Amino acid sequence: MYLIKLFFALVVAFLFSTTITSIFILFQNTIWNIFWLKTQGFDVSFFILIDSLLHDLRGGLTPILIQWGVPINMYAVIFIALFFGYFLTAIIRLIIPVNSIFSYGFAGFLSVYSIIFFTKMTFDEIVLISSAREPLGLLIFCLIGSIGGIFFNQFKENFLRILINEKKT
Amino acid sequence: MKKKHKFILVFTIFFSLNFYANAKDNNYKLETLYDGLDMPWDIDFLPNGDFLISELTGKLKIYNPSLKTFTTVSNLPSVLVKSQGGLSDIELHPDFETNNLIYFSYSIKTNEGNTLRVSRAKLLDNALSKMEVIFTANAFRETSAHYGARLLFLNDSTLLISSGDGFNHREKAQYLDNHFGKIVRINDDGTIPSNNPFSRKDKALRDIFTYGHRNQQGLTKDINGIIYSHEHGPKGGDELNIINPGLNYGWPAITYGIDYNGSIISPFKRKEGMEQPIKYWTPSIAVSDMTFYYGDLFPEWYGNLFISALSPGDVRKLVISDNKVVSEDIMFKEIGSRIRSIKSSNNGDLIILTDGRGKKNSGKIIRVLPNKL
Repeated sequence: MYLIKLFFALVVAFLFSTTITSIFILFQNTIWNIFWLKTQGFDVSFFILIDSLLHDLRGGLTPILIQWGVPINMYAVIFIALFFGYFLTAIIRLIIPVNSIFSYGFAGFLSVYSIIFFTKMTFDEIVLISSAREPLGLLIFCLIGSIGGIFFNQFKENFLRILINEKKT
Repeated sequence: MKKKHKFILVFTIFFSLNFYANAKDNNYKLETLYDGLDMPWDIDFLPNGDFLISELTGKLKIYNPSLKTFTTVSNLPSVLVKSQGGLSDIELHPDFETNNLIYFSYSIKTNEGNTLRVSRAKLLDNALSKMEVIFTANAFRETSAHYGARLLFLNDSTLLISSGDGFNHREKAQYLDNHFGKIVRINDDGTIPSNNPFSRKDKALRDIFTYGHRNQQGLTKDINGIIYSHEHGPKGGDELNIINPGLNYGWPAITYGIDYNGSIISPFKRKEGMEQPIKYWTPSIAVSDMTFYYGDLFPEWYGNLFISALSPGDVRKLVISDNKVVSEDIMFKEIGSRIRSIKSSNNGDLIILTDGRGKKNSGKIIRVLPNKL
């Protein structure tokens, strides 16, 4: 029963934290573009900002055509990257007991960096996420992944605690 | 009249009209002159009627349409052949018959990164000689995408060069200190004309003619010398522009397209001081080349602009009047392949190149002829 609850806590924590990470990544991209437009003298109203943010949340569902022909969208790319990152971290932590906040934070950082790394490999150095083309943008992008990893760890522990407490009562 | 008869009558009229429309359109036939080119990119026509064809993979070939034979031109420079990079445009000097000079664009790899280069050389006895580098774009990048690379001689014998935004460097198209997303104008020897629009502007490169472009793969002029350029949009927003010196064409600050990942590039489509296209395509058709038709074989097409497209692979025939596109017809869909280039030959034919991407040596040369011939 404990294993089922652990699995359930992991799934819910993963979905929650990855959704938040995806939203942050998409928002960062939007805000990065809007900020550049402001430097070019565009008057970006609050309405345009909100409209753009909502557009990009929807836009994340649009398939990106990967080179070998498999259509996949931004959310799926982020979900896959973080899934492998957290899965590997969980295995490593079974062997080497590292602080969980640090290890999942680091996993999130590396996982989202791997998105850039692999798209560059696939698309001949092209970075599809425009905000990650500059070093500062890339750092913010990876830090969002890191925050996502910390969220995952906290959610996982909190959900598990809630589920186990239920059992006790 | 009975309902059934009415239906048959309407049905018959509809199909008769449709057949008439198709018959009217099919005033041409397509003749495949050659099948087997390796990623052809551009075609030009020598005074003797031979075709000069560049292949992205780094070869320059001369095709004799009467004998249907090829000769490979020797002494080409080293070219970076990668992704969208390679040997690209070729252009004969306006006085080619006396000086034998050809100009060609290609991508190169340097210590600073990949970039676009233009050289000129004499074409004599199927070989290049006296080669000179006349332009190297200050647009160094890691990617091998968005070189632009089109060339066009203007009536004053200055040369326009399109230089793309390098994909990862799109914002630089708005700054005048580099060649990302620019059209450049130089003299035929590579020097910079003194009357270029930014020749006296601080921190601006003096050879810049226009800016705010993405990946301009078509440059041509009409019979009056009006310059047209088209460029690939991202996801949507391919544009056809009329080019005037010193103007800003807006990329990426204004655009009709969105990013490949579905996000906005800019929520703005217009801004004062930034030019509007005379035509844009959403979804993108992947514009690849264009030519005005002034031949005799198709009098009804006289003065029309033919734009080749890679996706899904057709040609757009545009009627332009008073700098506005008044009609668009989709043509040559039956070719069923990516169309890389379209040019009007010296004797009034339209010549089409398909690039055969994905299958080695499957690019074709196709001639468009009147149906009656």
